Amino acid sequence: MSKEKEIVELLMARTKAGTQSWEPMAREDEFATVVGEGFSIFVRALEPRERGDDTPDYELILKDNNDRDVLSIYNAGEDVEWKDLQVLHDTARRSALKVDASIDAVLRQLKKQG
Amino acid sequence: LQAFRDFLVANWGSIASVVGLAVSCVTLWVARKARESADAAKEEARRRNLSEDLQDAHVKSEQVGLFIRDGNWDRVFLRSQEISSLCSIVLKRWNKELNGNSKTQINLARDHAGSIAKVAVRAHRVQPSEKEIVNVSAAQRRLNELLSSELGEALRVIEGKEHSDV
Repeated sequence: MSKEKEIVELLMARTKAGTQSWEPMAREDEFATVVGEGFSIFVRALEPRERGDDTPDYELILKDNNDRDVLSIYNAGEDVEWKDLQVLHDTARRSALKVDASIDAVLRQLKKQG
Repeated sequence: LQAFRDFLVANWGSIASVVGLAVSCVTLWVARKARESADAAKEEARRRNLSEDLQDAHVKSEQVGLFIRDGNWDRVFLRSQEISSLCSIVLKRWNKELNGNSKTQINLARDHAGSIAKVAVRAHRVQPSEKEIVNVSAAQRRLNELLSSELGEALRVIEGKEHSDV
């Protein structure tokens, strides 16, 4: 497994376990998380391109503590597939927008109301 | 009295050594205390500089909010870049003083500032949609919150130190 793929998989696992939290950024559909004491990872959905369908492109960027882009995966790369980025983006979105907590709260309310 | 004089005369060398040792110990103690005070003053001055930089970034983030409200994207871009640079300086300069949580918060603040700057660059060419303005405003509020929290923490440390010194 490539290191890039390992990063994506670990991020997904840690986010699902709730030990890695993401934040929504100013740009639409962009989420960021801080790893360690200086690395930031951004994952972003881009406008659909001319691929014959309306699925978006995905971009993952790793920035170091000097704010330099040290790794950039656009759609796919080093055994990372488009689907991996799509799932990571969705997982990050759910963490950043606290989707699960909101759904749980709504469910609790609805059950309470009978 | 004569016996005491005789004792002094017979043992003046040993007495002088004991007195010398005592003087050395006192001098050493005074020097150590002076160094500790100087180190504490230096550390406090550094903390004050840290809080000044965070205060500066915080003021700029409030200005970003006003410029977003007015649609002044050139200034949003400039101020966001300045905040991003200030966060980088803080992270580098006070690497030892900041704890892990503070580093994460300041890193996030830098990420938000960078993201706002990117929106502002695009907004210079294409007018942002309502949704984009809502997103960028939310990011500015979060940026402000992160910087306020870190500024509060820096001030708390300084004030805690002042109280412990009193």
